[in-house]
Amino acid sequence: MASFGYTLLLIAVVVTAYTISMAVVGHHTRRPRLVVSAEFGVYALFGLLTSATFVLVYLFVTNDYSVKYVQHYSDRSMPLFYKVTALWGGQDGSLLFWVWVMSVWSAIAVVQNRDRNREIMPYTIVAMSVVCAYFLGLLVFICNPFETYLATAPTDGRGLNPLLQNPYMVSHPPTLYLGYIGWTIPFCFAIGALAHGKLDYAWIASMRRWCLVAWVCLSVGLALGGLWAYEELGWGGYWAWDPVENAALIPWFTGTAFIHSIQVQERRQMYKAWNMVLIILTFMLTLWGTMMTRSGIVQSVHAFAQSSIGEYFLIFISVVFVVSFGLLYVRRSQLAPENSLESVVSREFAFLANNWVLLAAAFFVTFATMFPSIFKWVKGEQINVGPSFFNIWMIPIGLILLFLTGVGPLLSWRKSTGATIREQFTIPGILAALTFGIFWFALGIEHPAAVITFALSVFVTSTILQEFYRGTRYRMKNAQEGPIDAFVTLLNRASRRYGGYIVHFGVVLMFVGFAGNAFKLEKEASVTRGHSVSIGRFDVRLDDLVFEDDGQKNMVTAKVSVFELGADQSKATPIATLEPAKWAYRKPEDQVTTEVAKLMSLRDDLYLVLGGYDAEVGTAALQLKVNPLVNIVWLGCAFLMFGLTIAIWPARQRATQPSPLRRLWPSIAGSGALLIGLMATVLAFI
Amino acid sequence: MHTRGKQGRFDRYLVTVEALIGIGVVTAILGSSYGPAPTVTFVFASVALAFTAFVLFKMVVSLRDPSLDVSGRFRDEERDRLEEEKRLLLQGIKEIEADAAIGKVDAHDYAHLRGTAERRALAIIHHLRALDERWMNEAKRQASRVVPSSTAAPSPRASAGTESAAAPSTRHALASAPPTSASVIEVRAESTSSAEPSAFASSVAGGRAAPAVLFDDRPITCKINQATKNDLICDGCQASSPLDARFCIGCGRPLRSPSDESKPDALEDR
Repeated sequence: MASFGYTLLLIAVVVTAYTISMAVVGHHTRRPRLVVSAEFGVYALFGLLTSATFVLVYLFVTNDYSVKYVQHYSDRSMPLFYKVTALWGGQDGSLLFWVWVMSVWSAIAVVQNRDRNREIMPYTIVAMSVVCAYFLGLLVFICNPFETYLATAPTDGRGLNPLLQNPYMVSHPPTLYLGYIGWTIPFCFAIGALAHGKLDYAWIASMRRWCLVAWVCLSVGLALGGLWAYEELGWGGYWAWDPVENAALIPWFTGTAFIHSIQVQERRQMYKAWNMVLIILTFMLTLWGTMMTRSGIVQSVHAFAQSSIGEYFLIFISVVFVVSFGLLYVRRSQLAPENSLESVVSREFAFLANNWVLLAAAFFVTFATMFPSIFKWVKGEQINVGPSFFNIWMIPIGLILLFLTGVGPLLSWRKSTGATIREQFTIPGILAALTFGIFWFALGIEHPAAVITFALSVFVTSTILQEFYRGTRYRMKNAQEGPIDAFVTLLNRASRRYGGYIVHFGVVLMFVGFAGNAFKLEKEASVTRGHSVSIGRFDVRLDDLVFEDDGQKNMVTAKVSVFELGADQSKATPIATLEPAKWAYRKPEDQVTTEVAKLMSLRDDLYLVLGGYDAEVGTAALQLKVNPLVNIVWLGCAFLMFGLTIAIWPARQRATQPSPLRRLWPSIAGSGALLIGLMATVLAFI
Repeated sequence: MHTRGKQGRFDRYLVTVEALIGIGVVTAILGSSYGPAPTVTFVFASVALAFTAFVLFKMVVSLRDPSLDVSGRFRDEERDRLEEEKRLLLQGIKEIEADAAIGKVDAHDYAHLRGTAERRALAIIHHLRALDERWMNEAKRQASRVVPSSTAAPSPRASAGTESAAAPSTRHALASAPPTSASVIEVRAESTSSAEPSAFASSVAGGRAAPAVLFDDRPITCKINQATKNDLICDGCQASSPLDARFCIGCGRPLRSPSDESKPDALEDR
């Protein structure tokens, strides 16, 4: 079966080569049938890689340890659930998964464009196939997931890393991959447009929705990763500026810049070359991030083992750089702007400023992530760049971005006059100033970054509410509609605009959650059975220590009762029982994981970790943390999904649906997304 | 034809259902021996392989299908590009209107931005109209090629004796055509006999009575064309504005009647 899987990969290489050649020849000889044949090649690639992926899953579920990859990342005691997800648990399998997702996206892109963009599609198909061919080359020649043991095969596997044996293993990597690889499709359309010289609206129209889908997948993937780290790693936070986390965040910055900047091109025919630069950079940064994660260049708690594929990635990135920017240079005259920037107080400039800040963030994070490796290469010494270094720079950058989130939508295209600025900014400005005053002077909170965040959050929220209010009022007046009808119609008719505002609100919520870090409480205590320790408004009592074994691992669980202290810190009310634990897996040998216990609410989280124990005395070393507002971050993600669902809802359906119920579909779908997000948050509470 | 289409669809559904039942039966038989997880994975892999085989077959067959070369030429990419740009411009105009209505843009900027967008949109509409005419002429040329050779050699009786009778019927056909008749392909018999349309139509419609109009595939720009012919006149400055304008191009006064204002879509962004 393993050799069959490898044969499928070999056929896939041949089909990809065929697709590339047919697309090129068909376009140059003006024979559409060859291009159609190339399109079938893309579908065939999807079919072949789907088959190969299922073959590998089959090898996992049948415990075929003659295959090295299966033996390295699974064992007989693992539940079926984790055997399937072990597909992306290691380097080789995750590369197969990468190229499979790419083939899925490519097939969808080709189906979508089978009747349009016929001029740029041949080059787009070539670009997509070249990316697939590169990853297939890695799989076939360097990281073959179907490689077998030459001698006797082991009778059992080594097992999956226990940190990966978590329900988030199902959702986090695929979502992140969907987002990461999703950016490849807009890049390929851009290359198609550059290669053909058809740099008008066609490629923008083709990839607009792709960008939003890629962006939301990447955002949700990042959030799920944060949630996973928060639950599994036991250090009490969700973002530690780990190189692997940063690898996904860096293209997110440039992608966010792109989806804002592209609007300027649509409305004002400006920033055409700049948009090309941004999409090329985004794709290159996804490759760069993949290289950082997989080459062993950077040290990380969840980077893949050191391998030789870094060099190949470097070569491919160089090729992409030369080809993309070479094409951009050749077509530079066609990318000249049709309008110029007339004022710095305009939406065009706000978007440009937003782009600069996001690019600054991307380059800072890239540099800081690579700095230890560069330092080691130059000086030969190993240093670490910790979260505090990132926070020094990223907090101001984040605050500027938050400010621009509020300012951008209120400015008009071309230029804003003093009167319009006064009209738009008076109420949000006053509310922000009041918030700052209340938090800083009245409440005496002396965390400048947190207080500024709260003030800016109020500013942005009020600008969003103001936009909704004025839009609704406009419709009520002009269409003689009631407020609810006007609001729903507003969401339906201008879904992209108002969906975007909801996304902005989600971002505001996330910033509020980030600001909660300033008020974090931490304590470590050794507690004997029957005794208690207090932190913030909580009192924690160790009731018992329980020792169990389920065949796969030894488990030590601390049974803990949590009480809420009254205002005078004396009267305690029992509110929950928690069970922080430590699990020692048999495979891989002596691998110990920390199972966190949490008491969650929107106000704060009580986060308990069992650091150690003394079974004879009955003592547990508990690490206690109170994380204020942390769950608002996840709520913000839910709003992000809700807003994006509204923003990307297909226009055609809305235009042809006359019934009032059907008009509500975007809102219903958006509410569904919000509900799913909220349910995920509630599940996380449990 | 319609019934055959329905029958074909029904046949496809039937085959799909039968295939799914077959897969289910095979899955059940294998599952009882090898366990559910390996069987399900195996079946999925097999279905993916069957799909691959089908697509590879189509990939090879398409190389030998010359009709694909022809069908590809009927797509007008230039038109798609212009339609997309026009859509974005109209969307932009609506957004500017909305921004002006909620006080985000002052009057001067509103006039400038709207005027710029409108000029560009009008240029595109004109360009689209030209493309339509070109397309129509090409279609007519193609249609005239299809006309059987018998029509090119009318009978002496027809050419000699019925010309005067044919002329009224042709005039009638033209008079009854819609105002935007440039978009309608007609069988014109100005210089030939009245028998010619019937002969042509018979060849197309299989002997049934021939309509004067072969097909009416009116492009969307004809509607715009029709609309722009009936401009709105401003009560204030008497300037002429397009039918779909809300404000006068000359003085900016609202143009729409209250009944029209009951369906605003200025905030629509797509």
